[in-house]
Amino acid sequence: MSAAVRTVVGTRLGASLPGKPAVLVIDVQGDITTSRHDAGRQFPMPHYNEYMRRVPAVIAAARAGGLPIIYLQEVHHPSLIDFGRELDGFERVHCLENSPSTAIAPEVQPRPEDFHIRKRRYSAFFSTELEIYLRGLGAKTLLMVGGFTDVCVHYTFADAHQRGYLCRVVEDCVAGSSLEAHQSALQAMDFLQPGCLCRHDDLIAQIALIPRAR
Amino acid sequence: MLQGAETYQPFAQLLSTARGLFIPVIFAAADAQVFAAGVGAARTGENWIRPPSLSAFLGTPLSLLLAELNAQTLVLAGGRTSVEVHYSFVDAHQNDFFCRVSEDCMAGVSPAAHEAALKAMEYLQSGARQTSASLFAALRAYQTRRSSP
Repeated sequence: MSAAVRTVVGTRLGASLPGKPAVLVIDVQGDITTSRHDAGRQFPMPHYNEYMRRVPAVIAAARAGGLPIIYLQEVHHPSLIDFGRELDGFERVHCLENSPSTAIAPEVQPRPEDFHIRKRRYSAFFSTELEIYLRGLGAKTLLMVGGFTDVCVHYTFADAHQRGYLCRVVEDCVAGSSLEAHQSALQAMDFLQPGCLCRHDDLIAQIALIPRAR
Repeated sequence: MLQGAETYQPFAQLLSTARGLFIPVIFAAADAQVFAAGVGAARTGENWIRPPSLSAFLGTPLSLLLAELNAQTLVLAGGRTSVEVHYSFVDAHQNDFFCRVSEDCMAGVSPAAHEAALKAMEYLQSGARQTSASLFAALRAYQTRRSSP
C-alpha cells in the first residue's frame, strides 16, 4: 500500500469502500473553469475551481463502475423568502434560481439515469428526497465531492454520520469558504469517522476494484 | 461535557440568570451524570431531552418543545463545542432559529476544534459567538423589554 492516502491528519486508508456506495456531488455549480477567489473578501479558498475540476474524473469513474450519482444543487427563490437565517452570517445572496451561475457546472451535467436534488439549506438531508433515494438504492457509503467543505459538505456529512452512513470525503475534490475553514472541517469530519478522507486518484483506483453489479 | 473549573462557574451563572428571569431552560444530555458535579441539573418542570445522536434536534421532541414555548432565539451552552453544540447549532440555524453560543461555557475535544467550531458558527450567524457576560446583559435586557408595557 505504497500509495497510502496522505491527508491533513495523517496516513489513512480512506479510499476503501465497504458497503454499497453512492456519489454525492454537492453544489458544483456555475463556472469551474476560472478562479472564484475574491482576494478582498478572502472568499472562497484560493484555487477553489482547481478542486472542482477534479470532480468530473471521479464522476466518470463512478459511472464506469456503475455507481449511482446524486447531484445536489443549492437553489433559492428570487424573492429570498427561503433563505431562513442564511443571510445573517458571512454569506451573501447566492444560488438564485433565475441566475445562470446557479446551474450545475457544464462539466458535471447529470444524465437522465442520475439523481438530481435541489436543496434550500446546507445539508443535503434537510427537507429533501435524499433519504428516499438512498434507501431505494440500498446505498450505505456516501462518497462526497463538491463544496463548501466547511458548510454543505460538512453538514451533509454530519447528518449522514448521525443516520448511520459510512462517509468518504474526497479531500482534493472539496473546497471551502477559506483554507482555514476547509482544513478545520476536514479534521472535524475525520473526528466523526476516522479514516474518512481520501484522494481522488486512490478513490478511482478503489472504484475500479468494485465488482460491477449485473 | 464540561471540562475544567473555568467553564463551570459561567455555566452555573448562565443557568441561574436564565432561571431567575423565567427564561425556559432545556437540558439535552444522554444521562444525568453529565450535568452533575454541582453545575446544575434539570429541576422539576424543566425539560430534559436525551438525544440519541449528536444534534439535540435529531430523534428528540426539541422542535415541538420550542414551538410550544414559542422560542425564536436559542442560547447554547455545554459541550462539546465542535460536536454536539456545533451540530445542534447547525440544525437550529437551518430551522430558522437565531442562535447564540456562550463560548466560555463550553469546551471542545481540543482547543483547536473548539476555536474552529466557534468560527464556523460565527460564519453562519454574525454575532452568534458571545461571552457569558454579554449574554447575561442580553437576557436581562430581553426580560425588561418583555415585561415593560
